[in-house]
Amino acid sequence: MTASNSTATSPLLEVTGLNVFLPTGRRSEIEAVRHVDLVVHDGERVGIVGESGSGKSVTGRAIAGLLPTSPLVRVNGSIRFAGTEMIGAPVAQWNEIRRERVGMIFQDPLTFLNPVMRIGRQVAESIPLVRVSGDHRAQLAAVHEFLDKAGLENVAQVANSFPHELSGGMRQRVLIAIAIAKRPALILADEPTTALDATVQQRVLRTLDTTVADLGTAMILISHDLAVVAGMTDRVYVMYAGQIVEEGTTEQVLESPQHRYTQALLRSVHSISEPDTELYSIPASLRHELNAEVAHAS
Amino acid sequence: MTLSDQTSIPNPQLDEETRLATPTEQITAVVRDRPTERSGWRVFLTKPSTRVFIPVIMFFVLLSIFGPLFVGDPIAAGFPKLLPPGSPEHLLGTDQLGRDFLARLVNGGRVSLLVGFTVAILCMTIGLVVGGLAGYYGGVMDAIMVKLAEYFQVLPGIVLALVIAALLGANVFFIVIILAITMWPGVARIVRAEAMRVSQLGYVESSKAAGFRGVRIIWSDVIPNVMPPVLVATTMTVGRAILIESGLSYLGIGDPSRPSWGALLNSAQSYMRDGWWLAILPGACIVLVVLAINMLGDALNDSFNPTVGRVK
Amino acid sequence: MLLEAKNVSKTFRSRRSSGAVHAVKDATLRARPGEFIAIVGESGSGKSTLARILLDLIPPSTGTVELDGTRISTLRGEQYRGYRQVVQAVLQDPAGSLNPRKRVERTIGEVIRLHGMARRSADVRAKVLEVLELVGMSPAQPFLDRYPHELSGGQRQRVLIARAISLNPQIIVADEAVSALDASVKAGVLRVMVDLKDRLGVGYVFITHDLPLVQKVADYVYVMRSGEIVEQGRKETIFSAPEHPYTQTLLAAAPVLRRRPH
Repeated sequence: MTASNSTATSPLLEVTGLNVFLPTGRRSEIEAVRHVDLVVHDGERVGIVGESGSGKSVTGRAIAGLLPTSPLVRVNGSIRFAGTEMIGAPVAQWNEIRRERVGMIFQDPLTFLNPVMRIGRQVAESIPLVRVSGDHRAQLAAVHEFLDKAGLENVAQVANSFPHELSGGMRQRVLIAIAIAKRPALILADEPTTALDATVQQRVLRTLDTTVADLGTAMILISHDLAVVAGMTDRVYVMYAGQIVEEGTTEQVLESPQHRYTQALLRSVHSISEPDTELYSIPASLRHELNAEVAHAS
Repeated sequence: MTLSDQTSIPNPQLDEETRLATPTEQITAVVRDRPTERSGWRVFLTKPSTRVFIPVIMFFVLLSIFGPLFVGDPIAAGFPKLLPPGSPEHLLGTDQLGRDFLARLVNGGRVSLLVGFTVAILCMTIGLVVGGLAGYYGGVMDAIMVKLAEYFQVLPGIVLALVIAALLGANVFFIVIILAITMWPGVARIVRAEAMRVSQLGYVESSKAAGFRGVRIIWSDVIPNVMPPVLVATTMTVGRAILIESGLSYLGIGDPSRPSWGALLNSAQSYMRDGWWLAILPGACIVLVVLAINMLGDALNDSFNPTVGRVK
Repeated sequence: MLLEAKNVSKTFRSRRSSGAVHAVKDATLRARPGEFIAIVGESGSGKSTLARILLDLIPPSTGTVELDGTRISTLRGEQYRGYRQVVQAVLQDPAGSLNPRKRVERTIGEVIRLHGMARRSADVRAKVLEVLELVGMSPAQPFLDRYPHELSGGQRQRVLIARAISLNPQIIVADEAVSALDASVKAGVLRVMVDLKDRLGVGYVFITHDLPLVQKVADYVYVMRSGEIVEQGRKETIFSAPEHPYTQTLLAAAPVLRRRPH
């Protein structure tokens, strides 16, 4: 399941030296993403982990070409899909990438789903025309197939519903259905289960896991939750203050973290999830040092 | 487990925490294109229409306040009649009775603006009280307030004005009162909708849980947070009040000793051919002020709630 | 002191159908100073409704809430104020729980004045500084003039806790008070809460969906599902030998740092 025009030499996604500046006022701006290098190969699952404000979501939006189109938002560096440079690319080219190559799943499905359009039609719209001929029946069957793949039951009824009639977990599954319906080469999931209850989160993650595995799609999973990323990815990037501070296989990073921020982050997570460890919050001095380093580097 | 070792975080780190919290918040703000309150004012003040129309309003306001001190008596007659504008003694000429038209125009502006702003402030005050009570308490209180607003809204303002003018005599004070009692429901409805929204928020609930009384919560938590759209509606009310007052003056309801711009327009009817300036000048003033106020209202609206429709 | 919900139920009229929604069904719960009780449940379990009933923000449809044996619905005047003082709230939604137009000093100072903990401005300010220091916002002086949007999520939550403890409460009802925070900040705020329990003897009714957190800090646990308390017991018992199948499901779903199996 690789995109037809990707060459053997270039990875599915290659981000190099990405910088994103966001305006904080008319004349002030912040560097939300700093010199980020990131690679995703075909079929690979990559996690981006960080606390709020680490720049992980901004990075995700930059990759999807979804940063606000304001002259005050400056993006530079390089984002290549299968060798094609996307920074500075025309809108039509971005649209093509988003329509055919990248499926997206966000934290809040309600902002993504059209409230006055039935679910079935929204899924149908993301199925590329080339794959399903004008036949209404075939299209409906395809819609049902994708809803089923996303772990929904009573697919005919779901397809006939409006977004507000579904529960949070079901909406998130609809987003998964829409994302996989285009048979993308890459799925970009930004905090896909953060708003869900733990039991629902677990089931949705399992669905995402199996569908991605079945389709052989590559995935970028962005989350503040180390537990979510740990269970879903092969490789992970740890971000702090707009920078990637550590990168490695998920196993390596969890078991022998090299960077002291990663170590502290893991310790604070463990301190909550393990009953016998003392509550630990990342000490002020460490954040201070790290911030100084970031400021110095740029 | 003690507080001292790692949690007593010194201030600098908390500062960092604050700063680092910004990017995501920022991008949410930018993505949703919904400026926060602070940036709302900043957006407003840097809009081109604001930059044009604030000076216009300032000019008329200052002219109305201080102008009458420098121009002559608006009702002193005896100068040459229907003198066209441009003479050194009478910059804007004279009217059909030989009164200095600049003096009349400046004093008329004072009446018109006074009516506009007073009516708007009265409407805002009544609207905040009624809308605030209705939106915060809901239920029976809401039903009562909504009915009250409906009754006042269907009052025929012009007929009422005619009746009162006939019974009690024409007077700027009565006109202000009549306009205020017929126009406040518009503001109240906006306050009510916003107050309902704000009353659902955590800080209102927190204040209740802390033991504050309803009226105090409305005053200190609800009203400050409903102000942006209310200010927009109030601004629009200024313009509408000036126009309606002009209409009433045009019908002859008004204080003859204190002619507003509308009254000037009315008395210019018979002299359109010989004294064009008598109609054009007050007409232009009304158009300019109302236009400026409505443009500012629009700009305020765009700056604070670009996603919500225009406040009418 | 004892805050008790006795056989409390709450029914909301459903907006769409003629049917009714039973948000809370026959719930009985006890909270004491010095004890950390947790109400665990998923969205729609009625745990927030129960918290609001305990705080007298909404009246129960049936059943009573009692403070030392007296129904809070019968409290008047000074007594009601007393209840408002000893039982404090830290509510969910860190962005919405502080009035965006009020500076930190006013947010905390106004409840201090309301309950007469201090009257003169200088005393009120001293008290505000004291409670800010208590929750780890130290030095506190620079925070006095901040607006909520100038604070981070963790700081806003600390301000809410500081406001609650400024009245020397005996019980704090905290509804998802740390849920929206990053793990590290969460740990910091929790540590403050536990420390206040240890040092000042504050009791908590801690409402959350986060089981690892409960295991960390709670003494006694109530598990809610669809408005009903399905299981309750000491934390050790609930976590080591859960009886109700729903508790077992919840425990199984709790996120664990585990690598993806290959």
